[in-house]
Amino acid sequence: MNQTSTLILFLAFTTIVGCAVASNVGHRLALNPNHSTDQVTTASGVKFDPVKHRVITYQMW
Amino acid sequence: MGASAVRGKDGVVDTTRLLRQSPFGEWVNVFYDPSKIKPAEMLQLIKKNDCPRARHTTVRNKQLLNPIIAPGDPVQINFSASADTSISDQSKLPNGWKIAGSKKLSKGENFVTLSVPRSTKQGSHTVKISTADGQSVELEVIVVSQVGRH
Repeated sequence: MNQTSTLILFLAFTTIVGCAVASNVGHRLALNPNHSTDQVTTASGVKFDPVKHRVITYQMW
Repeated sequence: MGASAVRGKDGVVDTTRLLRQSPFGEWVNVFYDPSKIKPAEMLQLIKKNDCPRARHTTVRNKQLLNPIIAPGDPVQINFSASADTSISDQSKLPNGWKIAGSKKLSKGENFVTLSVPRSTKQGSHTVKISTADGQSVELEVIVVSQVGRH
C-alpha cells in the first residue's frame, strides 16, 4: 500500500513538473517563433545580446 | 593612446582592436549597452578618454554600424523598414553567417545583428538583407585580423 501511494505521488509530481516545463517552453516559442537560440559573442568570446547591445566603430587617428 | 581607456567603463561590453592595414588604418569596435550609456555619450567617452578625433565610420553606406570586424565579431545593421515586415529567406549571407535574434522588423528603425563565425576568412564579404515586402539592402563587410583586446 505504501509503495502504491509513493508511486502515485511520484507520478503526480513528475506530471505537474513536466507540464509546467512544457508550457513554459511552448509559451516562449509562441512569443517569438523566429527567435534564434544561437548565442552571439564578440571575437574575444564575450557574450553579445543582439537585441539589447549596440556597437560603435571608430577609426584611430 | 589606446582603446584601454574605454574598456571596463560602465556600459562597455567589450572592445575589439583591428589591425592597422592600409588603406583602412586602425579601427576599434566598441560593443556597449545603450541602456547604460547612450550612443552620443559613448562617442564622447571615446573622444575624451581614447581618441579625440574619433568619429563614426566613413564608409559610404552608414547602415552598417561596424563595417570592419575581426572574425567572430557580430555585425550590426541599422535597417529602416517602411512597414512591419520580416527578413526573408531571400537574404544572402556569407557561409556560416546567421541572423541573430528575431527576424521580425517593425516600421521604422531596426537593428539587425548578424553572428559571424570565427572561421570567417579575412577580406571583403557581401551581405544582402531582403524583406518579405520586397525591400533589400546590400552591404560590404571587411574582415581583418584582431590585434588584441585592450
